[in-house]
Amino acid sequence: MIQSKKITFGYGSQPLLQDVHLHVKPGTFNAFIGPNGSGKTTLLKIMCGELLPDDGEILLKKKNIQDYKPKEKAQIQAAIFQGSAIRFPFSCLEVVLMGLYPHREMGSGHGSSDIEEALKFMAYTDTDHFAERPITELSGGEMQRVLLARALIQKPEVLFLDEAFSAMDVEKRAKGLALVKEYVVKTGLTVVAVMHDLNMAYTFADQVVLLQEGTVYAKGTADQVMTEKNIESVFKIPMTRVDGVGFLPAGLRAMVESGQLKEESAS
Amino acid sequence: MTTTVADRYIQKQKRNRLLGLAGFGLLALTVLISIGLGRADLSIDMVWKIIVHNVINGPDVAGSAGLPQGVEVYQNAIVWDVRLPRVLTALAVGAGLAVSGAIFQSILRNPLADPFTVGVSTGAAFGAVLAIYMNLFIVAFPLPITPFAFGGALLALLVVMRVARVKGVIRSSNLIIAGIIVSSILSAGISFMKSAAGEEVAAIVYWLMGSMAARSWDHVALAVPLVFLGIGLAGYHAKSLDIMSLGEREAVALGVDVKKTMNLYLITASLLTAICVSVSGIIGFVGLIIPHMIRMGISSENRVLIPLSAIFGALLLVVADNFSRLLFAVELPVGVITTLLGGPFFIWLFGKARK
Repeated sequence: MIQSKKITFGYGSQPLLQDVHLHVKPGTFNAFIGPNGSGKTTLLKIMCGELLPDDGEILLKKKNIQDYKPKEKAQIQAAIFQGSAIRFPFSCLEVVLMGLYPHREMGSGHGSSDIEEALKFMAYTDTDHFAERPITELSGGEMQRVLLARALIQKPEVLFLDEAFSAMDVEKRAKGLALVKEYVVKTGLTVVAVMHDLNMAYTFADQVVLLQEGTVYAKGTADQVMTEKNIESVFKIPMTRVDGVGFLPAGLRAMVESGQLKEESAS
Repeated sequence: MTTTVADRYIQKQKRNRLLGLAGFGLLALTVLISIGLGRADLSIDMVWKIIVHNVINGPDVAGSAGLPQGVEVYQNAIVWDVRLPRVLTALAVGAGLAVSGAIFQSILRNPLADPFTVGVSTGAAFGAVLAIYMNLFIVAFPLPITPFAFGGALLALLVVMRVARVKGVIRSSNLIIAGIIVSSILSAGISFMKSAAGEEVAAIVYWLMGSMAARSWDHVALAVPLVFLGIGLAGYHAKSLDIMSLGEREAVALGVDVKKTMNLYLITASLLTAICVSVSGIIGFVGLIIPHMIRMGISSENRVLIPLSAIFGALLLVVADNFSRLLFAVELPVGVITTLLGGPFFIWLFGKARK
């Protein structure tokens, strides 16, 4: 679906990303994990064509992503970002209808079939009951689900999530990602997500890309990449893996009590 | 029988269309009534007869011979030469400022932006003040104020765009900063000329306050076609503007050509402001409040917001100009009226909407 070839990117002399090769297969859920500053958000921005790499290229369906017209690209890919700050009181239905923009001519209105379709996607993300409310009145979790409905009505083949559900409480985060994952399994959607929560990445991702200081430390299935050894060496913190379930910050308390944590952060 | 969301959405679209038509009718009626009002009171019927006569036969100065029955020469002159151009100028300026405000709020992603935020209006004011100031010295060839104001606005726009453009892209945050800087510099320039003008400063101050007094067909010829063109252009791309108002990353993700759309709307809104300020001076409030009220009460969608802002902005300014002409023996600047009357009204409405 998407191939990144030899991606290098840097603000000034210090490269933020170096020689990143990736292959994103259709119908898979791909997670970028890594500590702050490891370059995962930058990589996502380059993969979706928002940023131009200094070297290397991104191929979306075997065509350089920079060769797509804006609307053409939006027919293939959609995106949801963390904490979108919408300032104007559009109704949630109006916001979802904006997802039809890449498929419509300028100046066309929305008939009842468009609205039924929007409501169908809103029902899927459990937001149809506030279709007529201004989006400015929603909570963060509700707004992200409206934006998920908007992304899905765009009928993308690839969906980018830039920490789209990171700021939610654990229930909303899990439900949001589970909805996306279900959609991947049902429809063959491809997802590329920047994720903070290791457990969510471990639970949902088909491919995990572990980044460290702008390079790919490891990539592969969650079980291969997210080993206790890799996690400790990249995140600098010991985690205990419960196979097939997730990670526990075991040993952390012992580190605090023995004063080991202070020494680590001081060094 | 229960109505569905889809029914209500379509109903709302119909209602908005009706609201537009009703507003347009009200505007036309207000224009006719406004022309009749004044020291020489004329009936709507007579105003209508005179306008129709002039439109059909062309304005003539042949005297009373060709005029419709019962219309005196002076009445014809009041309607056609004095009041109609003034009212049409007010109409175009009101529509232009309101639409320009709606656009700036969207592209700057700030509901509190207005046509004056990015400094274009200060450019127009600077140009106008420069012309007024120069005219104090060179009496032989008086410089025309309106073209100078327009030129000043264009120059300010170019500078603001140049400053705000980073790596070929204009970002809204940069635009606000560039606008404030350019605007401050030009304001200082205006203050300089004001202080240098000495006792003649009144002419400058009065122009800056904004007025429709003595506006002629020249002003109408400049303002009306350009304002209509600007509003049409803005309305046609309204969906892109909706998405731009959500944020730049969102706009990219939804397939909006951000660079093109930003340039289109920045230039359109700036030209609208430039025209309005050039013919009338600085008239506050219309550009901030009209789009704000329509968003609160009717819709945030720009394909509704833009035409309704035009109609109700025009209506507000035509009515306000009547107050400015008729309230006192001396004419009050219309910019003062819009804010004095509009401000409290907005506070009342805001309080009501909060409940």
